[in-house]
Amino acid sequence: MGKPIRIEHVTKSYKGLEALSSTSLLIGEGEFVSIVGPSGCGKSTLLRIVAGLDTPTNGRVSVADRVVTKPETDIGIVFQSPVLLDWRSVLDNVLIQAEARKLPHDVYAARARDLLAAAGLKGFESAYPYQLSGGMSQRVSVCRALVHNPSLLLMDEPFGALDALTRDQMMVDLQKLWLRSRPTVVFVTHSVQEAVFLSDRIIVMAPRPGRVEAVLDVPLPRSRRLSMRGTAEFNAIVDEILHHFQRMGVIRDDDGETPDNTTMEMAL
Amino acid sequence: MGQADSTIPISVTSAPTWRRVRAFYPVISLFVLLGAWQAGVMLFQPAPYLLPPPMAVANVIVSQFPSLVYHSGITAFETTLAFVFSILVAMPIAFLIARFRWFEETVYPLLVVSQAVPKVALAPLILVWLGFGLSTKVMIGVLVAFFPVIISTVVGLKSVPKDMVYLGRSMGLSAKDMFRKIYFPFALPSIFGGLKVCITLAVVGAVVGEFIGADKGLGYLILLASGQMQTALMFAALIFLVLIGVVSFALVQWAEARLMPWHSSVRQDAGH
Repeated sequence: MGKPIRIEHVTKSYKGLEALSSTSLLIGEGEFVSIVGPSGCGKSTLLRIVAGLDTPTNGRVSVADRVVTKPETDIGIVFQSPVLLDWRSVLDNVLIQAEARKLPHDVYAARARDLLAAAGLKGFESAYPYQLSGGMSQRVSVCRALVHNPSLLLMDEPFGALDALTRDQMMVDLQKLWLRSRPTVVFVTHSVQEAVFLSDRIIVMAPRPGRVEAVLDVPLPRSRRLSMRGTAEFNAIVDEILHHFQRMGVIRDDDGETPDNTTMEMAL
Repeated sequence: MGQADSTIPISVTSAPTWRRVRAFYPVISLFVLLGAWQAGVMLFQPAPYLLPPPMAVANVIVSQFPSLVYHSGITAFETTLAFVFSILVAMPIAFLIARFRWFEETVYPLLVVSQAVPKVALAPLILVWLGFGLSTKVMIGVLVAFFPVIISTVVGLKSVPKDMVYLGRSMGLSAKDMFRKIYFPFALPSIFGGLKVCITLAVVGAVVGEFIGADKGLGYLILLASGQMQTALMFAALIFLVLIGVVSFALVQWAEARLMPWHSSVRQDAGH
């Protein structure tokens, strides 16, 4: 089961330039939270701060009531690229988590095989990363992030580099894997549909400086099916998020002319 | 039966045969070269001390075989030591450069400047310092050969992707394990690039060392043969030198293939 995350007045500046303005969030234990927003809204920065891989300029983050001061290790991270170690087989790539933590090899090898099978990679345990497709590689990196049963799973646009069909499958599989152990998930994405499909809650962020624009609940029942994307409830939430982006001027409908930001905001 | 059907088996069977033929290409070009040499000698009939015919060189190789093998052994030994010491010197320096900013800023410019000095010009100085023994040849070999290992190792260590470092830190890897499990294996392909340059330069260094002061080794033999106008012997010694270069390079390449079968520089299926 996951741990709760408390983000209190966190800001981040690079050389005096504000990348993330004061942000406070509470993420419940075992909650699946997505952060959506355009490039430059500080969502990856926030993720790194939660992971303890970057320090906030102000404010603090605590995981299960312990303030984060160094890299968290009860954690699994998935990046946009799979970041597999080319010199290790698929199984050994997953098992590096166990090795690094001095966990018993046999127990975790069995767990890793089980996870890989659940991710549709049965028979590829001894393959090397160069033999895998992009989607398969990303599956391996998801298994690597889950094998040690972390209470926190951080994903930074994990499906961003995959084709649309593979993304759909990955969403379904991720939901399945998440429901098995229920870690707390922070999932950063560009894709509104992906966020709505996967999340309990969605944080909409705005750019320059990065800030939280809105927080939306997704009260759709689990486990969700791909066909749910056709329902009115699903699309109502998608529309609401898109509306936020329109209001920010991140996306504009083609209405014949391109108004600048200020008139757009006044009109709304 | 359609025509398309009959073409498939042909392409399947011809692929391995074609590969076998291609393996002989270098042999063919070697024989063409030897043929041209022989033809040139027969056509222009140069004095034997200018250009001996291939057969004369072959005769020298046969008659002087024990001596050639002995001198080759000396040069090969010096080359090996120069190669090993180059690695022993270059690796730690490269690790420190990649790890510590202050070390990079103090040592790197010095190293680059030192490479502007023609190392061959330093050889007489080394001779004065270290004498006529083995250490002079090894020292010159190291001086000539260590720099590419530093460069390639630094480049390899520094090109570890940021996310891979994040991954290691999120797993709680110690500095030692970070190096052992991530940095070093990641840099290995680049390191081997440097080692291949290093091994060829180590041969150069050993021969230069033998030129300036030695009583054995192929460099010494070439000088001796030159002084006596025994051009055929010079050619024979050069051929053995080439063999040392080719064999040592092949050994490094073999080690590379053994250590990193996963890398695209080694794999058969990697595209060209």
